[in-house]
Amino acid sequence: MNHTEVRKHLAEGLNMERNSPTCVAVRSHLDECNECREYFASLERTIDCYKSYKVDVPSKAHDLLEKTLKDLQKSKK
Amino acid sequence: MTTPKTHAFDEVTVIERAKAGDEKAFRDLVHRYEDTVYRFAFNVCRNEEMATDTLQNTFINVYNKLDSFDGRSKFSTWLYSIVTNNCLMKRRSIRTHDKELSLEDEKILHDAETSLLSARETSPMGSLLNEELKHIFDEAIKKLPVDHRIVFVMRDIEDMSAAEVSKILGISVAAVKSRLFRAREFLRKSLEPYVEGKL
Repeated sequence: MNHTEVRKHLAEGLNMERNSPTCVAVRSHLDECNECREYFASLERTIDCYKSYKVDVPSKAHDLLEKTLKDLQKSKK
Repeated sequence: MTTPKTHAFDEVTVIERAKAGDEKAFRDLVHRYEDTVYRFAFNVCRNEEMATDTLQNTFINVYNKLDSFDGRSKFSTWLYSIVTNNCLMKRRSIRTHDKELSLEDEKILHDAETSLLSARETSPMGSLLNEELKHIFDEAIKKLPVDHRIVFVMRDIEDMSAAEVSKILGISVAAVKSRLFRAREFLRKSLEPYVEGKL
């Protein structure tokens, strides 16, 4: 398996826990290839950064939703 | 799907009660999924006002269409279809200034790393504040075509399976994987200079 194939599998969301021949081949390549390990780490860092970007519902949006629901339920009565 | 706040919550029963007109049950359902819907809408739109409107519209749709939910799919899958449609409609109705790129052009992926460098040159990593980094993440993801952005948010932020994303968006699993590959590659290259050593 070459760099491009490995990177495509990694980026497509390969589940590294599986023991399929493809996963085994990818893991084996990663063990040998520093460049692809760096690539994988960089991919993980990028995704983790987006995951750590936390968003809460602003109170304004929550209050507006409460009002919208009240109006909706009132109009149905 | 990200699991929302959960205690002892019998979702099937709550949905049935809400369908039968129990207002409290409907509100319980809203409160359970409010964070999920807002977060998803914000992650796709990267705009607080658009996310707020999408939140309202989504639950109005849920209220009006709940009778048509037959329980054959997960409620969350049904809900994500509605939020996604609302995000897309919102984007169409508002003229945005976001410049989405076509990721079909390989050169775009190769050039991605340089696309945000001017911001970095004027604001070195060491002095970047959280808010500045957030702005950089927002700007990078806003350059993705919205169909790629939605796949990235569903797979990598919401942790949905490729099969679930395929079902919600009505596209093949292969198309999900292809969009995810391109989206990840673009974001990785765009943000590499900023995320090195951050985690």
